[in-house]
Amino acid sequence: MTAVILDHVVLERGAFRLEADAVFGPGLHVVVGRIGTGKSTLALALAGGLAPLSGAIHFEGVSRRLWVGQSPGHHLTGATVESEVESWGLPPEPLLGRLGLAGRGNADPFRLSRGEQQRLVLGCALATDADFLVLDEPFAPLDVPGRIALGRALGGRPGVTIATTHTDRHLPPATARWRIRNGRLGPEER
Amino acid sequence: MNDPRYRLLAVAALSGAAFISVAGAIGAALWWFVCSNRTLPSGRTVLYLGVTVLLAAAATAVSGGDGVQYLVRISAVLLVAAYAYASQRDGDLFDLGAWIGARVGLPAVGFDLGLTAELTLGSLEAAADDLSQIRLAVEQKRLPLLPRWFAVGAALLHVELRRGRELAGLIALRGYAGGGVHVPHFAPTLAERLATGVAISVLLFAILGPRDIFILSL
Repeated sequence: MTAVILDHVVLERGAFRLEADAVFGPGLHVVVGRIGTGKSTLALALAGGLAPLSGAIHFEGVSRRLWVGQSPGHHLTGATVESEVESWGLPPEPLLGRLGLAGRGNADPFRLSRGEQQRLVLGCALATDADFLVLDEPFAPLDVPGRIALGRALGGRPGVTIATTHTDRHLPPATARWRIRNGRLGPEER
Repeated sequence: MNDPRYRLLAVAALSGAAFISVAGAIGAALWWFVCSNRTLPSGRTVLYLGVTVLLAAAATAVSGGDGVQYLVRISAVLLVAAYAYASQRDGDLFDLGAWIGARVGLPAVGFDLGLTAELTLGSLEAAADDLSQIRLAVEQKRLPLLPRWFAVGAALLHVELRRGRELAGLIALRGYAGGGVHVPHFAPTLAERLATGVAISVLLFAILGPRDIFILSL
């Protein structure tokens, strides 16, 4: 079974500190918390971009880990939209059509709007075979239909998917909801 | 040191001292040990810099130069640079630019230079953060090494150009067209004045040399 285990993890980034002790099993996990509570720090640590100060993160049965940060521009490596999709190891069609970018395969991805870039990067990440996906604030630059579509796509993914968000609105039905409060990650009490 | 004017003076004096002589470099290192809070960059950065300086010193020695002298001087300069960077606070360069501009009778130029320096420093900090995230994002795509480096550079360039454009738009929207009014407030402590005085003494020591100092004192 695919699972990501945070074993008494303590994360520090500058003056900021976050404690987490959790098990993320298969399905969609939404991590909510106010801006500045440490969601991006947690996402970065899960992606391997930040080593815990103490404790350990165990990845059980994970063969491919993928992280999408808040800035879609950080992920763009292709000179065209088409080559960008190919850089993720994916065929451009029919993905571009599904992402609303049909006929724009030769466009410069850096010249797309921020919302379009986000759609492109998220669409590619979701289409890969990654069995552990970490999305940092994926809903932020999207409009409501975009959020609903993303929510649907997230719900149907195999493996473990973790999405952080500061908003409680338009969230997909998740396997589990978590909240960061007072520097600690814990299950959401509903 | 909270007052950026004294800090700048101290850093300039110590850097000059380390450049002029080995005695000045030792004096600058002693100043760092006694008068600063002895902050160093992360262990990894110290390791990279240490290895680089050691290799350069070894190369200097092998090619007939004085490797030890080079090592001492560069180490002192790096200690002073670490102090200057660690002591930097948001708004320091803006304060300093506006203050210098007003002192030399060019307040608008001082305001613009201070603002530019402040924005540049802020962008550098943001770029360092961007770079680590871009590297992480690009590594996930499993590209070959050379295309990966090129992709990281291109993405960083694009992200910073976009940020610069957005920042320029923002300050233009707020009505900035050139110059402005900024009245910084400085409150130097006695300890800061003394530490700067010691730094200037180290520079004088480096310029005159130990022998001249002892002759003057007789």
